[in-house]
Amino acid sequence: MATAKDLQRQRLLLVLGLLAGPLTVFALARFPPTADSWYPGCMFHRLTGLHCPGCGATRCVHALLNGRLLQAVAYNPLLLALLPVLAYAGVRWAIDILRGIAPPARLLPAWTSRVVIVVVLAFWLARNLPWHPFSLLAPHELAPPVPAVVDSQARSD
Amino acid sequence: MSGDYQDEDDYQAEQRARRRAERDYGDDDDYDSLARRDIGNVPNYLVPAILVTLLCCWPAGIVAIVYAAQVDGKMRSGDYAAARSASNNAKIWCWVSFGGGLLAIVGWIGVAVVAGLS
Repeated sequence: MATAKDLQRQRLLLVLGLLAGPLTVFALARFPPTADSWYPGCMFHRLTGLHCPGCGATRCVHALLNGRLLQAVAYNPLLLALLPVLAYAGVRWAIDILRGIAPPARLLPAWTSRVVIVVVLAFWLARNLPWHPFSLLAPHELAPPVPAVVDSQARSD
Repeated sequence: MSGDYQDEDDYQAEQRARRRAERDYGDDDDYDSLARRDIGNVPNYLVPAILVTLLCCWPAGIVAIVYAAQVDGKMRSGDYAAARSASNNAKIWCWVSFGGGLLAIVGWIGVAVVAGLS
């Protein structure tokens, strides 16, 4: 499976990721995703009004990059929980490629796949339930805790 | 719970051994090492499947995650042909999800542009 061509392709993917990654992080940190911003937004939400498992992900990362951890949780707790897992897999993969070793075909241990299915489906259902403890899982805005930070971010808008 | 840990340790030890073998044998063409590499290297595409599910479009992404889970199950039961086919399906559905998301975004921009012009 891990042919030389495969490895070359993965190396290309790493280079693209290293180029696009910082740009994406910068854009997400600098430009707040609002209702009228140029971020594409979720097609599922636009069509159905329901929240998909990834709804709020852009706002979550923007809040996280600006140091508002609680707001990030309020937008998409699942993404926040999965970020360290994905980062672990990504870093492991990148280190292997940089060292010229074929990365393992399965970056995460076997049991994670089942856990991910159950968690994603349960989260998807729960965040669309209209009752109190569940509705907290839908993307929602908290009262701005540090207005000074928000001001310095929004000045050029 | 201790049974789980035992399995996980075994799994990790196996992975380490395989990666050592890979490092040692590199691009060696002898059949034995190729076969060993093959068994350790049926990708499940779980990471890209999670990414497409959360970042662009869940419908095809969830199908990809389900296939990714099947890869691990089939590997455990020793059915490598089925694992390989599930792996292939996971890859296809990751691309379907990615392409679908891209298409939806491009379509949305198109609609926005048309609406802006009219």
